[in-house]
Amino acid sequence: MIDKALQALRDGRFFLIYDFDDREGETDFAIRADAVKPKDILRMRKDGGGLICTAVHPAAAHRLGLPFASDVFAKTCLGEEIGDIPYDRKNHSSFSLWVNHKNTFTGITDRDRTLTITEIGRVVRETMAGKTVDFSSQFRTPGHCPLLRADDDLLHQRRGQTELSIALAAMAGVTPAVTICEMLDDKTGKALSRDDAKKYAKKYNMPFVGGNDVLGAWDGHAGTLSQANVPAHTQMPAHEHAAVHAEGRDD
Amino acid sequence: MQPSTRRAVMIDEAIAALRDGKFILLYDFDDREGETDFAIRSDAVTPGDILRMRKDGGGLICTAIDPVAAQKLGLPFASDVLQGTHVAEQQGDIPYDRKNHSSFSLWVNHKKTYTGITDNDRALTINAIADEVKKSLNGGGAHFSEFFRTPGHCAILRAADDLLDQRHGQTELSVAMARMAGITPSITICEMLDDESGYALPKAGAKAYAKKHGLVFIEGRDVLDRWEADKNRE
Repeated sequence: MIDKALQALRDGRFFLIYDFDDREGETDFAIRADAVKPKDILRMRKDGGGLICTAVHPAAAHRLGLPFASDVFAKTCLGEEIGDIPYDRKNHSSFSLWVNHKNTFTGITDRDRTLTITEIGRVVRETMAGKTVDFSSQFRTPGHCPLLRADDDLLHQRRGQTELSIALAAMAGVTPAVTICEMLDDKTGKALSRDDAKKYAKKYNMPFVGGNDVLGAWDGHAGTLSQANVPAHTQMPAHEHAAVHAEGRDD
Repeated sequence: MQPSTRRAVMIDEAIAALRDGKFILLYDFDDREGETDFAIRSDAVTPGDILRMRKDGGGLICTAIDPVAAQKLGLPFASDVLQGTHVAEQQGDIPYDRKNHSSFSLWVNHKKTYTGITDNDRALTINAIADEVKKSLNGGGAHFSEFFRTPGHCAILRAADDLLDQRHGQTELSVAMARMAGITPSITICEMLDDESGYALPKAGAKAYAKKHGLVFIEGRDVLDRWEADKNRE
């Protein structure tokens, strides 16, 4: 299934990504940000129902100057602390800023969110390719599209859909900006169950991958990874690369 | 019935529906966003209401609160907190309202939520926001950080200090209506989007939805008229 998910990523099609039974236990829609169309926003809000967020690679977040929201809001009296997140006590949430592209009107319509998200995809691709990008000339915060910043050590440190989807993008060799949205259940008021998410995947012919599948593939991928065989647009500076890939893969 | 009488009846019906914990549909102005929002008092929100907003609205589910409560609870404007980042919105940036900044405050989760995003979790967070707003306006509370953390999945909107004298968004319209209704001024709103065009749901589409589901549809100009009338009576 991992290969089908990687192919869907390359093709700009949706796939579904479940994290872990002992984490959120939640399935998200996932699609590469630069392929998002207004009808994809429609599908995520109708059939998903969660927040429509865009996960970006840590190297891109560094270069674009995108902080963690938990750092920015630490100065307010209610800033989240490490240990606050019930399904992951060791990490903070991955929220970065909520943004609108400056050419949007309200920022919330399917067309406006598509513009913001595809432009995020574009600036992530450019910054990963080493181009200088002036993020603030194109976007403003606060806005209607939350950015998620994947952890610097990706799956070594945190195993949310943010890191899982960015690891998949790296393996697929596509721009590491992936738009995700939680799938909610319409009857129980809870997250959609894994079984029901799988049924949805089958009905609409979408690949369904679990966090364990991604971890397995990532271990193998990382074992063969060197700067030389990483596609140019996903390469990071040496020090950032070391931070992401240098540790052992024995977990 | 004269049009003016009819509009006065509509605003009375809208205020009554809001008081009863029913959804109303709130349109701003043709020359502003031109957008209709679901609106419901936050202390009445159930998981079923979150479901309806996300299915039939499709925008962000936000909770607008009274400026006095925001001050007492220490809830800033996001545009102020974010000035430290290089991406922060500047006055004049908002295309439909160049004179004001956006009303976003913080995005929060109640500390008893799990992921924060499910219908159950969002209803919990939103009900609890109303609790704190109520307590803060009754001279108590103001311990917001004991119950909530930021960042989270429920956006809080802070109404402008002078409400409709200053800004005419659904944030101010809904909080002004809550004051008129004499209820806790914490109203949960969600934009209605169009499923065909990719734009906001047109006014006619929102009116048709209101008719189909027996909801009151009210426009900003009607709220504004009542606001001005109330001021002149004081």
